[in-house]
Amino acid sequence: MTPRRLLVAALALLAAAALLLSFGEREPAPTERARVDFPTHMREPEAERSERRATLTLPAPPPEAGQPAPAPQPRDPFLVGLPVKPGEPIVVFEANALRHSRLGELFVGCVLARDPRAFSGIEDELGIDPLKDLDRVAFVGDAVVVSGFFDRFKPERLERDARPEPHGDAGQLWIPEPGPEGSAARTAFALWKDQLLLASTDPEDLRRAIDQLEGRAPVPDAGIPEDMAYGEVYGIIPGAAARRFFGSDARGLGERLATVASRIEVHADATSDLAAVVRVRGEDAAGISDLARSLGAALSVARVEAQATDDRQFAELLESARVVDGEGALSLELAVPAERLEAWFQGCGPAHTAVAPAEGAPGDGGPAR
Amino acid sequence: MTSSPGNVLAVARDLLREARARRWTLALLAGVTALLLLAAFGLELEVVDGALAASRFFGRPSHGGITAADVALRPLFEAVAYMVFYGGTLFGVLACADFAPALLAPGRIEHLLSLPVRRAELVLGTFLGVELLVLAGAVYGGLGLALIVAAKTGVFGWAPVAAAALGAVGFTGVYAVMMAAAMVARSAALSAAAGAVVWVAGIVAGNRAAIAPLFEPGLARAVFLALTAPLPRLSELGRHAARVANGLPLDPAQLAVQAGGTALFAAAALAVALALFERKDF
Amino acid sequence: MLAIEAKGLTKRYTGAFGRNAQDALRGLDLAIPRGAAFGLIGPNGAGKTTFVKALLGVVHPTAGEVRLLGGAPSDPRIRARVGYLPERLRLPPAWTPLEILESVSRLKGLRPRTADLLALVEDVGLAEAARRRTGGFSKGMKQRLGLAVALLGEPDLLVLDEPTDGLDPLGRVHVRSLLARALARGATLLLNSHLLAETERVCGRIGVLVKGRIVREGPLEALAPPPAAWRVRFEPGADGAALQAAGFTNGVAGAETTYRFAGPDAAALNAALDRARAAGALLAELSPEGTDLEAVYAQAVKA
Repeated sequence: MTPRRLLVAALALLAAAALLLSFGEREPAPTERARVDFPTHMREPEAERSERRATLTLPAPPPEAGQPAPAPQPRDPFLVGLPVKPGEPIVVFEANALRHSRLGELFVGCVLARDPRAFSGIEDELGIDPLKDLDRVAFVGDAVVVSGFFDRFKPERLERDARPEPHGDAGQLWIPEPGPEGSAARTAFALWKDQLLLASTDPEDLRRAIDQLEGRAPVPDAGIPEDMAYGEVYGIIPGAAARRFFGSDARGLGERLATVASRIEVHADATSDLAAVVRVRGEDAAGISDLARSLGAALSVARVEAQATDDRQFAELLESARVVDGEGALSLELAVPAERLEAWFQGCGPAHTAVAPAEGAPGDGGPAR
Repeated sequence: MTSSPGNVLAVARDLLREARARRWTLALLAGVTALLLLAAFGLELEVVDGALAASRFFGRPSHGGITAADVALRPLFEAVAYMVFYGGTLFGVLACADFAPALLAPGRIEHLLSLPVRRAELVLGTFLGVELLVLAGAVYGGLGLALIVAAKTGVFGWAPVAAAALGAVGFTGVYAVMMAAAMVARSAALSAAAGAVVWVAGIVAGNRAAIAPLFEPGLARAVFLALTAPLPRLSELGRHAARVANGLPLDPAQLAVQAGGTALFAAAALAVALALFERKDF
Repeated sequence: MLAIEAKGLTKRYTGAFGRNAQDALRGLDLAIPRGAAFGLIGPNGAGKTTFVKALLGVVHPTAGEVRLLGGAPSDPRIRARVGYLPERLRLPPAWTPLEILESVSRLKGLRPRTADLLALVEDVGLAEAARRRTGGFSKGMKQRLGLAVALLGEPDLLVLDEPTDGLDPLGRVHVRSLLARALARGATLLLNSHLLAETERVCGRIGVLVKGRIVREGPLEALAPPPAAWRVRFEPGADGAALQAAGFTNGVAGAETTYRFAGPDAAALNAALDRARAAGALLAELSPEGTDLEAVYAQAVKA
């Protein structure tokens, strides 16, 4: 090839390079995985939500000698009305917020795809639309507390098996007749001001809850304070109760957790990614550190096993798992990115785009509807 | 007589043999080895049953949580990948600037041209030999670091090796220009300077979409885009290595575009080098 | 058949923008037959090295044609049959002679055994340094190695530029023997050397290159003028008067046994030698004056 031809070839190759690179290239793909926003503290929208919910004014405690009477602090009736028992776990689900989250949309779509009457059946029977009337659901030991709009509540179904009994200023109980000896305890229900619906096998729980709401009984310290009410799921699990959550293959870990931990806080955020933080507090700092390492190891091993058995969902869940150890507490962080959630629910029901609840609509702490 | 590919390989082999004996090459490899030793002794990683309990560099914690070892090591692998990619290509510019000028040295080139080797085979053989040298150096550094981390944590990451391979791909564009510069004037300094310019330009080209808005719309921006259009997207190739480090999937189509574009650019520069070499009297 | 054929070979060097043009070769014509030992001589800047490079394709002729061994210099198959020693050969200093020969063998498509390469190294007098790095070689050693490279594969054409440069007298003798061996097997030799005595001893044909042209060319005997006189050296003890009577004169100061016989007539010289021997003188050496290559060179350059 003559030098002149080589130069012409060089120009042609340069032009080809320019065309290929300019028209073939796309936006640079990200080099890092998207950071997950873990619910480690109360954020501003949650603080505003908490403020809006603080509608209950309880009588102020008696002042100390020589001190002026403290101003009564408004409280969240839902949190006040939790029938907390020492040693029992408490978990709250922000049902309305979850309903409108990405995960909720996917979940509801999946359920309705399998059974279109899954939710309407409840509305027909009880007069409660689970998708519209519910705000929050709390599990407190064996009791369940639900907040929302219950003005269309149909007690007839309950009154078939239970006798209605008013309690306090605004409470109504439905206590079932005891069953034959040896049979399982029956569930009692309570309704307070069309806002709170409670259920428990122990009617005393329900009476106590209404008493707490109406200022006749002190609100237990072991409950959930307002500044802990952030995330779409939150709760407190006493250390001793933690062993219940571990199966036989992780019993050892559960026992260690129960021994070292005095209190376990749980927070989960599902607005886009599904991110959870489990904070374990205890008196024994060395024990906590040791537990942190064990937990980290267990997660790592579980991830390796999930990868080995091709359990992709579990492996993805553990992808961002992290244990942070410090100051007498450890935090376990777990997350599933939003696009992975989409993939998990792929093929199960129509795809929905999560829509943020509008002002005054369910999910922002105000009344549902 | 040996075939053309055989002559190209013979020239490449001779170059590698010569490189092996050069003090400069040995010094650079010693530097890479020193870095590896630094990592081996300075990187303190505590691994407990597959989980990364803590990581320390020179005694100071560099990671605040306990997570699976391979997840925790992603930032380290990413840093190593970038180091191998950019360090490897820069190593090539510094270590290999002299090969083409040495080929053209009086007394040497007359002898080579009297042999039954075509001028194009000399150019291509030198180019191939340098590429293999750079690839070997980058793989040495990358694989070395990957093995050190693997020995300490039980986690082997391919990112450093991928970075070495991608660096060698990117270096084809850089060295082809260095060869062309050597054909213009037999000077290792000029060759190295040309390589450095292309190295920087390649990094800029890989970020041209982000940089273009800094120019005034109109002629200035159009000139910038036109000048950077044919350049190898070095920084983009580096980002592919970072994706491997972070366990993210590679985009094969984009990788093919970047590698193909780089190859076309290198071919263009080599064609210029050949054209200059063919016309040259010695 | 011709080993080298050049017709109208021209090479013009120009500076930037075509200025300062210099003609190194000006329409050079030359034909060297196969098997010949051809010596190219000329003053500095005559174009000898340019001519040699043009033969091998190292420089591109501006005009004219060159053929080597019946083919084009650009043909690798032709170059495979050529052995070249450049004026200033530079080889990788970190390599050993054996490694250099192996490398050149590969490029020439040869597959010699190591023993053959060692034999070649020994031939050029580097047996003890065969596995030493050439960076520590003397100039003479490097020259020997360059010669070995040129002789590799028994090429049909040897082009040697100053092959004995840097060699001691014994080394030069050794090189001459190697070249004689190559010529004996039928190789053609083109020798470019400043050392006229060396060229005279090795080459049967001479070309004088002046200002880019061949001004004299042919067998040495044909180029040399008839001797103006003879230089005769007798063994010590010869009768000076008898020698003078025989027709010899003392021509060389400080060399009492060296005489001079004027005139080109060989018959007269023989008759004078007979008379000298009859007077008891013993002839030691006889050489013509004014018929060596130096005379040819001087004559050609002045012309």
